[in-house]
Amino acid sequence: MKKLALILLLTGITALTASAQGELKSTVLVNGSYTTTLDLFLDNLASKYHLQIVFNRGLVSRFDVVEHYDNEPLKNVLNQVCKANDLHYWVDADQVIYVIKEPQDVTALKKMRANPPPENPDSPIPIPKSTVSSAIIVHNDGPAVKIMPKSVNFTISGKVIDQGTGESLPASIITIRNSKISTTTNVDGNFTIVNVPADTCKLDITYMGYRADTFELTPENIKENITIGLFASNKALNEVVINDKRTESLMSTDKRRVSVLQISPQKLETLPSLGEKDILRSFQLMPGVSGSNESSSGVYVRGGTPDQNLVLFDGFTVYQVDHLYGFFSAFNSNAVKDVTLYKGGFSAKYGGRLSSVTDMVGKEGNKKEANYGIDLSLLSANAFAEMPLGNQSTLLLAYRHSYQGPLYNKIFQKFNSTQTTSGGGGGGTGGPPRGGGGGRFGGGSSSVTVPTSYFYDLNAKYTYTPDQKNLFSWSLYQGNDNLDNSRILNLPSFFAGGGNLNSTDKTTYGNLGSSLKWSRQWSPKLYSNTLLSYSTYHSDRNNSTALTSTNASGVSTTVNSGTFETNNVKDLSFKSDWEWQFKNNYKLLFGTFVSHQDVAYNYSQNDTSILVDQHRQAVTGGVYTEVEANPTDKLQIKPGVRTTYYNQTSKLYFEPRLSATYTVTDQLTLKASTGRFNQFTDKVIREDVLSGSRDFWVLANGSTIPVATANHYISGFSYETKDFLVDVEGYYKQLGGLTQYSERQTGNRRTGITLEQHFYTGTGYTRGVEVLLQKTRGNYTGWISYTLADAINNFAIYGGEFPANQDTKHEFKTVHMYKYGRWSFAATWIFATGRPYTAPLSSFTINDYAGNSHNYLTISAENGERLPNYSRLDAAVTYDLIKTDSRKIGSIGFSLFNMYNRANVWYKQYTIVNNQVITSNVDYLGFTPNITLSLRWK
Amino acid sequence: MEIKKSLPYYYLSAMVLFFAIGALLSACQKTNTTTTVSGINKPVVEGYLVPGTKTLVKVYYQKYLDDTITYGFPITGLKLNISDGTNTVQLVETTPGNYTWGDTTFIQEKKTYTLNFTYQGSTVSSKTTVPDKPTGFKASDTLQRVPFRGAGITGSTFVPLTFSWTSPASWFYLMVYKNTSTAMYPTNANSNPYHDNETLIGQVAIFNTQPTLFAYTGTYKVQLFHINQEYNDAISAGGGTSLSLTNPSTNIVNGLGIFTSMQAATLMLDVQLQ
Repeated sequence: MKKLALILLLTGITALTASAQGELKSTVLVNGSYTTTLDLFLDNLASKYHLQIVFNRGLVSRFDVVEHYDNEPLKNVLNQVCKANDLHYWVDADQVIYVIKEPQDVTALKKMRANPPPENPDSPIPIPKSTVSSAIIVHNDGPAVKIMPKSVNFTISGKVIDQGTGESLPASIITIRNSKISTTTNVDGNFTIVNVPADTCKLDITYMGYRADTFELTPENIKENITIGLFASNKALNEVVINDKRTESLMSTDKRRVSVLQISPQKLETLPSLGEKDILRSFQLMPGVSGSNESSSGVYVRGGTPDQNLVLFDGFTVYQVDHLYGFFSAFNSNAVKDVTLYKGGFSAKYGGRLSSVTDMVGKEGNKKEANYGIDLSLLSANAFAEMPLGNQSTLLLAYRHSYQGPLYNKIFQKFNSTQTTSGGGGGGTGGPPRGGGGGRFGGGSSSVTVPTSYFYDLNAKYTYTPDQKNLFSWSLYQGNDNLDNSRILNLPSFFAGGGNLNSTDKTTYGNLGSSLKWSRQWSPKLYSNTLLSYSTYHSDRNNSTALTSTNASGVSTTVNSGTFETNNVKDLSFKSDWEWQFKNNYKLLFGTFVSHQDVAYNYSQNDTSILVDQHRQAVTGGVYTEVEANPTDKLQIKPGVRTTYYNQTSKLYFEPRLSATYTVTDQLTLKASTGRFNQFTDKVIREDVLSGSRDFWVLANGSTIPVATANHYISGFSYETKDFLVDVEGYYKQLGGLTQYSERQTGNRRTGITLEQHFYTGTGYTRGVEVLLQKTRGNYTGWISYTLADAINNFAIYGGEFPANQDTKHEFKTVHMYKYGRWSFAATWIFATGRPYTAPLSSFTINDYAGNSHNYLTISAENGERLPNYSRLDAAVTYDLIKTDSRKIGSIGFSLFNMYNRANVWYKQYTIVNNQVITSNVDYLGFTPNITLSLRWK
Repeated sequence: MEIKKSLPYYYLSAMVLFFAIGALLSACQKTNTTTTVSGINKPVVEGYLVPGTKTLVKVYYQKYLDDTITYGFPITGLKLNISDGTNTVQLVETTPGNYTWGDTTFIQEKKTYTLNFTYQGSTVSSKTTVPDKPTGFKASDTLQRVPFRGAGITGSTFVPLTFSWTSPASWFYLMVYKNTSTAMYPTNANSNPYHDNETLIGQVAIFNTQPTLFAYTGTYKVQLFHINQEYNDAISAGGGTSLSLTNPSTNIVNGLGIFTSMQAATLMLDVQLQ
């Protein structure tokens, strides 16, 4: 502490002598004549030049400014007014200017900035405290001059960016103060507002993880493209909020969307994590997204499966969304700028999935200066670099690679633990089922395993902005897992000269995706975003044994046996999305899309016999249109339709969508949405995972694998006060054309094996109510969420209705976060009803005709049993590493996963030993501590 | 002010809506039919009808999962009836749980036999039709030479024999190998005690031998059975070595196991070490 105090003192002294510790980078040139008090002068500078100036109004209002400036650099102006009044200014890393009398004032001002005093309500047409026209002189001793607007009912357009990095901020909400007029920035941070009432209006801008800001319109600035820079909030307390409710105070917004969650990836570090800041897992803390499935980073949204969730990264579809058997999501949070999860009833802009959409926008990279960082955890090392390349381009690179530390091994061994069976009915070694619960047989042989496994992912993005209207970007994502549980056994030399037994058990899977994007703002009212993308997915599994032996004459022979599986998806897509503000309060969204998918699945045995060889190509194409209508101040309605042609069935699929919100009061919003959704690509989960990889992608063919359909019906309301938000939504989803896969091998090694594949089709429904109570502001934030839900499947093969694997009746989640200085504390607790599984009830043995006995099991109704309830408490402490100029340069985090070491059952394993069926529980991870270190360099 | 006054109304409405939806969901909750008690009590039946042989039907209890016995306990005191459509016979319980009918002419080709008995108040039944005999069954040789097998031992190459037949490939077939010799020698280093062997070969018209087929030398009676699909399904269905939890296929109504019939064509084959 002494050292710290000394450092502070030294830096304070340095700051005073040099006027500012941080370098003031602003190139603002100040113009105009001023005769006013210093506080109003500073207000004026702040609003006119969009600066962040913090000062004690009581202190500085005692001083006057009587000056005329003609293109005077801001630095000189500040120096001059400070010197004249025996004041100083201090600039922090975010270029926030603090006007102070003593060094210790900085701390007080920072506190004040973090918790600003409430502002008086403004008049309907706001009058700035000081005018912003350079020609107008404001007298501080008289009443404020009421400025009449020069322009009314005009259109403005602009862009919202991160003030520190220049990065555009998509989905920021811009509201005209004291009106119901609002809009949201598009994916490039652009916005347009038509029918702005007056050029004296104030814009309120909010974006999650950033300080809300105000921008004052003037007769001058409305004529040009407005650029609004927001400052990142130091308080990482609003990680996840309902999209509509990010606003502070009473400023409710017209940007109303149904069933939308949004995350600011940069702020994830304060949440407890299993090893990595995890984008998809953080969604699992919200209502409607299952939080009890540790083995899947893919999200189970409202009774849907992860493959029913469309995952887009910079526009291209990602087919493999997790690493290490599902424990970690495949997205590096250092490379992601914005993530939005649409839980249902989503826009006609999206299609091809039944349940939900996760739309991720990659970071473009710092436009102002090079920035480097590294994150270390017990699981992986993660490095990134972002930099401007000239004035018009930026580059971002991020790379993450796991290492086989204790955490990696702990999870790996969950899947590759070897056991010993002693005779009996046999069995084998295999991985557990992904996703839903269940029971299966295990066993196998005991041996030493020497795995060499890892995962990595790479993100690269190059953005070129030749002018204000055009933006080109190229984005690349590659993620791979190499899970190797192979063994080599050297044979003793008495076996005919020796040899070796290579037992290979290797699974590799991953995704490579890339997109080329061109965005253009054709006019303030017309915007387009055109994308060409390519995405490939591969999953290969080699589970085989090679016996190499050498005979006396030195000739070696190799005998191969085992199974080999490959699954590939190649997806080439083109889409063009357009937005046209064709009328006041009416925006038209329309676009076209076409994609060519090539899906192959090959399953062979002993190198030679091919059991399954599927190869299918499909072309999907179509158009969509949607109107965003605000017929009244209170009502927003979005009717839309999406039409898709699928060449495998030669049919046109028509998907009407409708979403509406009604603002009853500033606090209370009613919302509802409905729509029809189709899915043409399914990820098939094996019921039996011993013989191969756990899942694979297939294309619908209209017969054995039908095109899946869903109808969503959603309604709810949200009620927001200054600090709290209550959000309740109910949903009902009808599902059709669901597919379950079953594989039966007939024959044996003597006769040759044939594989019978069965695709069972059925229907289903899910329904539920989600309740969220969230504290949105203050040092203490968090939420309580409860979901009451059913997910029911109906398959004739299983005798009708039964609970789906992911069915969870009750789910209660509570998240608490507290910020105290540099410390952040977080705790999360999850409780969920146990998932259903199918269990053996009894066994019997009969002899075949030749007299050999065969053991059989009788099985419960499909998913007729329930695993014990799931619960887990996680906690995390994060300490921010902050330089004395208040620039955050990193953090140290300590995370405790499953604090009370609850044995949550993952699945049941059955082993037959001496005719006895032994049931054992395989549990999820117990208590797991983790430590992370993040460092940033600029 | 009006807004403020009306707020409790909205609170109330919201709560009513919430509880109404909750109540709706609860009211609609479907009671899952979990394990059916009668499922565990279903008897296990094993019966193979072959023309020219005595009729034997075994009836067992199922086993609890933690039982270590090989077979379930026999169910005794049952009255098993088998009817060929015109004649009905009641089997005799010769040993506990083993019900027999000694007349070897009772089972005849192409006839349909129905098994019936009452157990715990429900009727357990099954039906099977004796299939046609396979025709034109022949082997490419009468002698099969087998190299001695063992870890690290590389012997000479195995030359397979080919069995073929003229009856349709769409039928389901089973091959049974019975060593008739009194003196027999193992063909591999780790041979288990001798037992008869059978292979479900499915719907084929040709079959090639493999080295692992004959664990001992000697003279084999090789039988090609034409079987019904019910047997193919019941034996090849998952069972205790399966990793997939699905109920095994059975043609027993209110019971488990297999009641089926089959007919064979026979060849003799010498097996010798190479």
